[in-house]
Amino acid sequence: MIFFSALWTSVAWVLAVLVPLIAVLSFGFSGQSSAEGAAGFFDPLILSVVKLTLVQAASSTAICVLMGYPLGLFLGKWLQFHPRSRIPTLMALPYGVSTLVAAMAWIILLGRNGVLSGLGIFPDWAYTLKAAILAHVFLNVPWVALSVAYSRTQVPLREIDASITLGGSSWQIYRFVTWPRVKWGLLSAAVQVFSLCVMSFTLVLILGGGPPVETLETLLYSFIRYRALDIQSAVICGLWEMVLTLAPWFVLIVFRRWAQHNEKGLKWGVHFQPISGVGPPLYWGWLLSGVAIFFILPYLVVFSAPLATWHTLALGLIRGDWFEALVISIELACLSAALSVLTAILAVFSLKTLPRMSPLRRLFETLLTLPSGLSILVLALGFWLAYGQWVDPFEGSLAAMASVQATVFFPLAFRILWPLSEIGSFTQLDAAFTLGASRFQVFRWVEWPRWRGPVVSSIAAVAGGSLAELGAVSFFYSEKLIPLPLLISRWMAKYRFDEAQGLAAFLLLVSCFLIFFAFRIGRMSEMRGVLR
Amino acid sequence: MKPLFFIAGIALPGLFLIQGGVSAVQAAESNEIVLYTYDSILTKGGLGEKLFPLIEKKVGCKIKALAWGDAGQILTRLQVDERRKKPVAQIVFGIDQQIWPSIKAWTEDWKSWTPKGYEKVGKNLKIGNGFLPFDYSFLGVIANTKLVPNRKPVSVFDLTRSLEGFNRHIVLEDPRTSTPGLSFLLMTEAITGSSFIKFWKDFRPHWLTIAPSWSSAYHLFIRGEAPWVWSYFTSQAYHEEKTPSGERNPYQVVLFKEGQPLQIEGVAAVRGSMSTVESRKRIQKFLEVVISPEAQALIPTSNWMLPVRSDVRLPESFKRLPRPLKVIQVKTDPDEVKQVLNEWARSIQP
Repeated sequence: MIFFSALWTSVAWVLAVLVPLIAVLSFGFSGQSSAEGAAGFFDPLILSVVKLTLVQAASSTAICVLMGYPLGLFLGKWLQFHPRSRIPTLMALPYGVSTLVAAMAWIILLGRNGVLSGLGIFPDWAYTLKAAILAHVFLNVPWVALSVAYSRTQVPLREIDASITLGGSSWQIYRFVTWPRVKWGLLSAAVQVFSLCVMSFTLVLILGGGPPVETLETLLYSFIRYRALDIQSAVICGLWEMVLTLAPWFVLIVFRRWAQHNEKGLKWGVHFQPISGVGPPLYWGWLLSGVAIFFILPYLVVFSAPLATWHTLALGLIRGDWFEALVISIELACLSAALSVLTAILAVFSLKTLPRMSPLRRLFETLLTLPSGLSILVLALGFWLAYGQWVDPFEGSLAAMASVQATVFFPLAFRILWPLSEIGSFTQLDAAFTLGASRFQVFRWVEWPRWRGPVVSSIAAVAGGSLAELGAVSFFYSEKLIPLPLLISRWMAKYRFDEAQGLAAFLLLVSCFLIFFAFRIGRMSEMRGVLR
Repeated sequence: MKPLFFIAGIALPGLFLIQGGVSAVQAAESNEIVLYTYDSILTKGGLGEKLFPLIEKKVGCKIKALAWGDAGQILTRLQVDERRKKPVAQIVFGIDQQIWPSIKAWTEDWKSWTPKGYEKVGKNLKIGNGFLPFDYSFLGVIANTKLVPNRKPVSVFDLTRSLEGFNRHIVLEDPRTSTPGLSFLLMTEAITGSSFIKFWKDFRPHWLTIAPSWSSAYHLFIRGEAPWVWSYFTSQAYHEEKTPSGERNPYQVVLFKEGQPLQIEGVAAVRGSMSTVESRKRIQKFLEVVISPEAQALIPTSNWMLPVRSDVRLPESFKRLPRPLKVIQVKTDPDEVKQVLNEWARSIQP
């Protein structure tokens, strides 16, 4: 079993990450001298886009951290006393918002004929860098807040009680008790947001107003999707992107290892342990719910399509106008989720056999989460170059779409499942074997209850992400293989703007439902595990 | 557990191979013509839905149409086919005169043959041997006259000033990813000449957005985000057809005093596709049907462009389209176009 898991994980990583990357690099630099390669890398136009990408991603991340950090601290404290709260689920909903839907919503809001303009608020931010940053902030603040909140729930309340008894001020409690526990959650969320903003495509493309507001991803797109195929320049953009997204992760990992020596004595609390005593006042819950709803509110404007649109859409569904696209999207979401979650389960199985602090385990962890720092366009291009004999973007390939999506969403599934390798119910396993249970029975009654929640969660999270994803889809579609996000942009091209907006609203509803479901199941199982 | 993983282990890579395997087949069937085209030709209600069955009937062949993105990406596809040593298509359908110099090397020369009906094609639409035009339109500013009533011709240099109280008054398309966007850029280069960079620097505060495609630009325009958009003259005809009778169509062409660029869409045979007598005949017949009166009559309301044959009856809305004051000839040489694009990219940097 362990051998099979390790074999599958290794083969999947080599085929889905390594081979496409090598294909892109070798195709990009074939027949070029190192001097030519270096000249391309430091081309003034590309450097100016690198600079703008950095400014955009750093500004978005800074605002997200400034807003998300205090919000996360409050939410974390609330969750320690109300572990069954639905606020984190509400807070997670923006993850399921397709960037296409988000862009459409912000245009409806910020545009000259938009909702804000109708209310007399006209900042004229649409089609500027400010609009792109605003959209990034709304998508990512809840993510930072959730990450900080989960870290905050691990602060042992006994230590806080002890500090108060000893006369510690609020600042001293924060400095010596809370901060050491939440800082890694905050930093990793910040790095994640920074990476996402560096790789941002649709939001910058539509809301940024076009050149000169460009990021590496939009420049890369223009190199590979139009006229003479300029793979060399696309590869240079891809490499810069990798530098910008992976370097902060690398610094964080190294810094964390160094810092862990100083934190050996640190004690951690237990997730969602019900605690008796006086918690935050009840109005905190209302306020936090309000804030969570505030971050999903902008996207609801896509429901403002004229009434006749809904009628047309309903008729269209019966006629089969978009039923096929819906079925394809569902098939794709199922395939991507199955592939990434299955591989993540097997990766967890094989990695948990390695010693906990071993460098080899850290290396594999890093390699497995590498796709989160890769542009989906680079990966799709590499996939095509490497497997072009069998996968033809012109023919359309559901398998290729699913493979690229599964690769990109694998780190998400892996991160949800990975904590399971850290906590093992060894006593129960031992007891079960001693009592003569078969391997299947042990799995069914001891292991599966621990895995069920996170597995369902990761399936729903990947499926939600897949439904909203546009990059892999736009690379491997064909006339007979058009998923919903692509159909929305196609309808826009055919003057069917209101129907496109209606369909975007439907897509938002489905993907948010999946994310809601993922978080509910995940958190319920987490609580069951603790209460057991 | 084991059987589950075993099935997954076999089934998932298998699915991948089966899906991939389908794409490698094709072409060889003797009566099949594989063609590359752009997306909107194949959409529901698009030109392909009506034109391709007609060709199949007249030529006695089976058409397999493959689309990817827009016209410019067909060149990318041919390049990749060559690198992979895997030619697939016999026809490229929907290339334009801008892309023709770059794509010509991948296509067949007609030599002494000319398609039947070619003499009915307007002289100014004939680009060269091997490129068969099938539709065209002038490009220009479409104005929302509800926002800005003026319909009088303007100068290109007026774009560098605010328009009747509107700052950021026009929506453009990215010249690197959109054919109309490239035409606009090359038109400004042709008109402004040595002051090209200054023009774009002065123009910078006055466009609302440079959208990645014509469709996204037009979407913003329809939403009333800006009073002007860079589009096809034929957009005016589209709106006229869709405007309820008795109402005035607010979307009208505004002419440039300096003239307008022209987009001509055409079809060409891919190099090597006419290697046998039989395949040559089939491809030649295909081309002839494309410019037959029957096929050309489908163009206006299926592709929202003008047919190239002068003897095709047009809908009234197309007859009312304005004539440009002058036709602007823009650069088509790939190296020169690349140079203009680079200069443009530098000139708009902050």
